[in-house]
Amino acid sequence: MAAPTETGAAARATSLSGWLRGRTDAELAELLRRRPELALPTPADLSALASRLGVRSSVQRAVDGLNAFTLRVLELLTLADDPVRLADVIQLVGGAGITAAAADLTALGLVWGEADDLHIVPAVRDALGTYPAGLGRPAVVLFRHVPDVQLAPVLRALGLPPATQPRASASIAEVLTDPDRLEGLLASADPAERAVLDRLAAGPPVGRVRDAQRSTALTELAPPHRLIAKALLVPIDAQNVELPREVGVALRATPFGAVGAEPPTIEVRERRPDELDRGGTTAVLDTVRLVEALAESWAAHPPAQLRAGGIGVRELRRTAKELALDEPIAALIAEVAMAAGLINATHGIQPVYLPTAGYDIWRRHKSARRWSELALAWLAMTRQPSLVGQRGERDRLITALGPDAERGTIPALRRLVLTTVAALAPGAAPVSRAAVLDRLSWQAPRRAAGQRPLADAVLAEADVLGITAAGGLTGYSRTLLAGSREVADQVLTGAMPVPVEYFLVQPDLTIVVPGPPSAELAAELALTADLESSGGASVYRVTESSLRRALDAGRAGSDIAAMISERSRTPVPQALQYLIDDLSRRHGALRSGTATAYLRCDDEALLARVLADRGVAGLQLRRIAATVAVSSAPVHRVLDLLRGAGYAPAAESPDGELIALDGEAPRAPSRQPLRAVRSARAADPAINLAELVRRVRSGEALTEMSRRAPALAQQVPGVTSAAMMGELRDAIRQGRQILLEVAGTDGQQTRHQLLPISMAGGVVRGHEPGDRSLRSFPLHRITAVSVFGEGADDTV
Amino acid sequence: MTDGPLIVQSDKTLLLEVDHPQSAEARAAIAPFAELERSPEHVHTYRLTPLGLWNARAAGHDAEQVVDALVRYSRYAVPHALLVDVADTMDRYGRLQLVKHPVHGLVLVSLDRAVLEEVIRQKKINPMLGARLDQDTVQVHPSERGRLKQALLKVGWPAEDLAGYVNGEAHPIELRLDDWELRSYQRQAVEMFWAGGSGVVVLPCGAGKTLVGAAAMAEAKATTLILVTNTVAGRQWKRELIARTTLTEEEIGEYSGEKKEIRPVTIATYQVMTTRRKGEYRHLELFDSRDWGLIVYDEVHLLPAPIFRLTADLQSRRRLGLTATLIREDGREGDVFSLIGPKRYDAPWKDIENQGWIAPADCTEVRVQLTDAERMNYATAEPEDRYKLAATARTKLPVIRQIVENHPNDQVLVIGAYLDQLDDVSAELDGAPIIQGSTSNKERERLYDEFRRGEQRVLVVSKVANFSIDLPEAAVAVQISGTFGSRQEEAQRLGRVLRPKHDGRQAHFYTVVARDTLDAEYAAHRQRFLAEQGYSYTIVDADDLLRPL
Repeated sequence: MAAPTETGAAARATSLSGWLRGRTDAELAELLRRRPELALPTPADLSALASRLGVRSSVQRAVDGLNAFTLRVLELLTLADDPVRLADVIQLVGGAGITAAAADLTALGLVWGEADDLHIVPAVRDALGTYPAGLGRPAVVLFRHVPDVQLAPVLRALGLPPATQPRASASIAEVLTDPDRLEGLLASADPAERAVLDRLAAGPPVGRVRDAQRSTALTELAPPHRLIAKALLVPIDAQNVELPREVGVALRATPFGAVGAEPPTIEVRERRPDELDRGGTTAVLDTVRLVEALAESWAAHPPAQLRAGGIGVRELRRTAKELALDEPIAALIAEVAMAAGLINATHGIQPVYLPTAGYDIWRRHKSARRWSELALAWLAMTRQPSLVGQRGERDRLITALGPDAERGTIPALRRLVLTTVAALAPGAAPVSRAAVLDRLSWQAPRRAAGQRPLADAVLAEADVLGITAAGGLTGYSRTLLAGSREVADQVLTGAMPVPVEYFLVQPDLTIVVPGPPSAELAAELALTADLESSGGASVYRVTESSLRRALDAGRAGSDIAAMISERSRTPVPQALQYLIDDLSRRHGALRSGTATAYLRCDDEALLARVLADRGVAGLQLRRIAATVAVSSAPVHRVLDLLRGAGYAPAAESPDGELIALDGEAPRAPSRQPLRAVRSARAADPAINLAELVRRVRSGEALTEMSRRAPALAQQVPGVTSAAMMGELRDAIRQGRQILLEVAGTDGQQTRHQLLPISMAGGVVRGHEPGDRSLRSFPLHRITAVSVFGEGADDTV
Repeated sequence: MTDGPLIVQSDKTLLLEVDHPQSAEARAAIAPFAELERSPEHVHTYRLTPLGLWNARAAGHDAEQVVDALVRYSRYAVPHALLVDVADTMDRYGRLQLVKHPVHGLVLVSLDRAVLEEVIRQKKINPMLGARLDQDTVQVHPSERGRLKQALLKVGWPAEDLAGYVNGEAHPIELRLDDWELRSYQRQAVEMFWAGGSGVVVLPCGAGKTLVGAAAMAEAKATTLILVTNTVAGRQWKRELIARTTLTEEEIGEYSGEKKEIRPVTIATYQVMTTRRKGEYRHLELFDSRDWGLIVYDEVHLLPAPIFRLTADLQSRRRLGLTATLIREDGREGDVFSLIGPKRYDAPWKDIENQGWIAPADCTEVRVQLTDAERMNYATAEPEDRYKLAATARTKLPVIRQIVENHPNDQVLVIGAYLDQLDDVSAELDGAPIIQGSTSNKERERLYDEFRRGEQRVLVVSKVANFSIDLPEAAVAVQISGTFGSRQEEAQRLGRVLRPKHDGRQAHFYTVVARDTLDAEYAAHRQRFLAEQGYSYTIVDADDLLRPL
């Protein structure tokens, strides 16, 4: 069902939709692939598609996606008069690669027509802005807006007869379009003037000048004003001047400016991919550890949420110090943890940041999984941590987790940056970050050029988080970016050093785990010792307080000693053994417990009687001293029961709760981790594109046919007329295709082409052309039927 | 995975697994640029510091070697950022150089114009600089040579001092190598120092630092000023110099509280140099009294602040610092680097011990259980008195006696901090002589002599003996109380027994502590230092010692 493009003047299209009709299916599919928004929802036919091609937002998107060279070519095309002959442009700028760029633009539907008859889709000019290619407007347009008073001295200076608008502007423009005269004018510029001209010629062509409209008749003029007098600059309002396009073109060596047809190369250092991955795992393990350390630190000392959101500078500094980090990295870790839903602000009068319940779940995962959750959150988060600490709007300091670090466009930039790095061979790491940024600016100038500092920060963050290692994209990150998280986890686990289950105990009471500790070992050590240094290995120190912590947590001295001697590859030093023994001997000499009520009585015998009384057994009184018993029942219940049993107790301290219950560790409400929204289109395989094109094509065919065959329509809603039934029956008998208009369940009219085969039970059945499956339509929903003529069959 | 012996930590420490087959190789590779922080039995900890890296640069190592050593021996991937940081830091040394200009005298030359511009704009540095000679050269007032180096180090651009030294007044000095010779590491240390011009040699106690000094003097063959911690140490130097060099008694002067002799070789104490009368240092002219060709700083880690200030003015003289450790309790390592010079030689204790140059020591902690009365007394005492109460508990006395009796053939030193306690100990040990602050120098010399000759078997000493006395045959040291948890004191006391014994006997180092008190806590702190130096120690119950099974 392909409709091949007919080349040659005979088939030359005169309209965009006509041109579209002439495109091959493959070309249309390519168009829809590269501009997926055109197919949402599926356009009814090619005319609809043509009109969508002109939708501003869609064009904007397509233009934003162009690389620097193609963009420049598009700009040059828009500068020429419509229709453009490509040969003319090539002759003008003589650049290689222009034909390919133009073909690319055509494929994108930004430009249509044949090489010697190119047309620009109208919205493109708007999307490119006022100064395409960094060139100003043509002189004739510019001078038209300048008042006569100001033009008079210019006319004089150029030796032109006095005139009023619009004649004045036309005659000046004529001078500027004459290459020889322009050359002369430029030659007359002194170095200071030339510097101004060159700066504006490099683009943008507009500059600010104090009092642009001052009289040029004065002596002692500044260079810009002298240039205004020579007609080389045009005042466009009180403060701005613009360089006319003709002058700009004449000043540039090539109209392209400094844009190459090939992307700037990135110098790389080649490593083995697995070596790069191993390099990344150091950062990966560090990231996971830091997030954990941050969460634990904040659980112990929750930082308060500022009224505007975020945490204060001092809190960030404290956290950074505690984690032995620079503040920007601490901010990054906090932001990522927040984005991954591991920390959140509590609700309440004085909100603080705490780990969430999600953190507890996250902590139980393996390192690789923990990291990939963080990495995905970083990819998707709409916040830029590198902004923290800078001054934002109204000179307000941007705080970590605060509202000012929000940047909606940053996930797209992150993708773009990583795509650039991903384009390098596996294992290759760029020697300098600047080269990556240059490439990025070339690849997507409109998206990335202005965001160079942010893109640089993104690269730095990727290195810190272990997404890249030494600047090169690691294998597991590559997999993660491609969307297969499970596989990425596996690759990462494979690259990570094998978890260590043992340690070395030293006489100075340090414990060295020579590698990443297994989760179980880490938990044991976190309890019994203090982490002193981490990285490739972990160094813990056993101190009195750390041992006490373990004893407090319910470990017996012998348990600790057993754990250490079991795990240690070196003999346990005697000093450690003594320390454990000494501490466990002293531990627990003072005892404390929980009770809700106490009962004291100076008369020991009476207390003994109460304890023996079955009537108050429900209180579960426990004697902790000769004259004191405690109960976990509330005071009022103790009193009630005792009174009921005939005693005469008195409440000693009505509000006397002794100890607050040691509850669960404080946790903030849960928070959904951020995930990149993957557009449905991006994942669709090409096969669906073919289907799309097929649908558009058949829609096109339907439109075409419905023009030719008169439709027999429903007269009364819900009632299918006998005439329509007759048509249908005829069509079934003669095996002819029909066009049905059907009201869907949602009330929408859809049109279907059908080769009907039966009509029974209030339903008409048949095949849609090109589709093997049987379709059926209830008769009462058919609103119109038309039968195709003989010729229609083979076109579809 | 290379499975090397080295693990790089994110806090810039390096862990070296000692039992790894490659550990010796790796140690040799990282020793030039990483400071050994702890060397317990199994895993040694080195630290990367800017000073350490600059020391390495000064010794001629470049960043590539450092990075290569880290990468080659590391078990896991070394963080890229750390490698970049190492290279950047090392790159900072020597961008600025102090050189002697034939016409303009001392000048600061920059190999990187931006750096020069940066430092010229520093408020603290600008006044020390003179006229700008050209874009890369600026004149320096000769008197500011030291202070400029200090200031440049503070802003992170340490200057390489290539301005050379004055030779000083020549004076013939030779080593008298009749029945001995320099040990290999001593010779190496002198060579490294001489090649560098100025700097610090780090050798453990008992490794013969005095001889390194003497050899350096023989190399310089010029008048020498030796600065030592106290008079006894000074006499020790004098004795050693007379024995080992061609110098005679008349050529060596003592400049101390007692005598004020200025001779071709003069030994002065830190104390006398820093004595002030009416707010003025009275003895500073000593530095200018002769045209010294070499200045030796003994125990450079104890160098008092005023001497630093003086040293800043002596930058054109060769300076040799001798010490057992570069770590200063006051954190002025940077001043040692910029004023005395970079580290020129360093050998870890254990290595020298393994070569048999210092005696292996056996450290024992004896735990004494206080009596109930003593415990009650301790529990109710004011916090500031507690340590003294615990440390001087009388229960310790029989234990000390027992230890001394356990070593009937050895020279024993009993070291304490409290005079009353020393008196008690002396009484317990049948009137063993006491050396304390009030003991005259003459009396001290006499006792030391007797002790050295073996006429006295036991000496009871106070803190005065902490530094620089040389008791070659003390094979047993018993410390019974100390200055709280001072690690430096522990090192010095251990140093007392580390001198090599003529028969290669084992040295013993006992600490007697009261269980469950501050005494034990402080002891633990001090012992941590021993353990970090690689000495394992055993803990013994006093009861087991008194009633052996």
